[in-house]
Amino acid sequence: VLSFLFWNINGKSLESLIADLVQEHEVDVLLLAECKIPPVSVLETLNRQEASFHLPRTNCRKISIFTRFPRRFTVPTFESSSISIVRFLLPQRPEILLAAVHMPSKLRWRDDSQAQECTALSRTIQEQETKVGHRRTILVGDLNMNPFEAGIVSAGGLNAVMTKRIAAREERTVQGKQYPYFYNPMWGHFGDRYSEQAGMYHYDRAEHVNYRWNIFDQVLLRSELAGLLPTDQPRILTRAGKQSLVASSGVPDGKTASDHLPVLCKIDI
Amino acid sequence: MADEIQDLWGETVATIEMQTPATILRQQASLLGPKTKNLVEAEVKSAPSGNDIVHNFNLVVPTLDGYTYQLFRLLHGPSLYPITIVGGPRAGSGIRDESELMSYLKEVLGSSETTRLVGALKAQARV
Repeated sequence: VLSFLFWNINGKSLESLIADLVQEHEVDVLLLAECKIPPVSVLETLNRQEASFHLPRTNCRKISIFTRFPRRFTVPTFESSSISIVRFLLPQRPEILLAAVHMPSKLRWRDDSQAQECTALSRTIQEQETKVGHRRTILVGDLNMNPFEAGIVSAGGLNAVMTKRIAAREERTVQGKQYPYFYNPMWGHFGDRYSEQAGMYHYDRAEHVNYRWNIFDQVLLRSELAGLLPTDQPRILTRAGKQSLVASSGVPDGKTASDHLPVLCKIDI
Repeated sequence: MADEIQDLWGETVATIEMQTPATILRQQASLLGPKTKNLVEAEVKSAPSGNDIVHNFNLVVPTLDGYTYQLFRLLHGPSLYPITIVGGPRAGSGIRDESELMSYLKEVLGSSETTRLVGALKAQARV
């Protein structure tokens, strides 16, 4: 099992909560967005009891990555200010490609621009997949878009679909051109059937269209990895150790934690 | 009746196991991180150089943009030994076998200079 935890910590000093989550869920790869904590502080906190975490060679300004794997097993293949793509060359396991992203916010970018950026991201990922010779890719990050938005679902965007069955077809053809699928398991988190938290980010504004709960932080998997994802994954976490990450109103507690809830994903690889 | 074939191989040929210098270096490299909470790590970068193989034994500070200090550099041919020390302490001299390699590593890794260097790098990792 390979365990990923993504959390947009909203610039807060949450080292202790992060360490609790990592320990409790036996996280292998920790990805933080809006992290203003110096990497050395995160590393020292994670390694307080045992030196199990390493800082890979990534140098992405908007995503901080920490892993249990020594640096020789994690090879960055692409870096920009908001994207980090890393090869995981782990012994006894098939190589995978991790794309960690933090896309521009809706506060600053229109929906159309966000969709265009997804097209650019998709192209970048496909270039790296061609370079490494496989499509065992997992995309994790704060996309700042919901799973139903054009940038996420469109063929030329991330082409991320809501069922494994569709994703198993690997790609679809539009106007004679093939587009590889991502499986987007985050669709399953909409609504309050399984949890009062119908997303990981809550935004309320007095305007006509308002979803309130949003699923901006997502885990997307290519077809080959989709089958390795247990049905109860990914999970949106509401506690870190004994501390609730949710306020009494039911929304993420931005005062004592972050305005985003963390996302945990374990893959049987 | 044919004469019995005389076995001319050495007595230990069936049981002898050799470790490559690269394996020994990597084993030692992997021991530093846990001692420094992974603030300073050691890594071995190996590359071919003509018919030879060169091993750089580096100290790396991941939180300092991956700052890398080459502690020493060894070179050997396809038969593993002798090794030539081409950089670092005792540069220019040779290592004849595995036992001498272990002695050299003990001398370099256990030296007060290396200990001070790791301490200084650890301090800078926190800057």
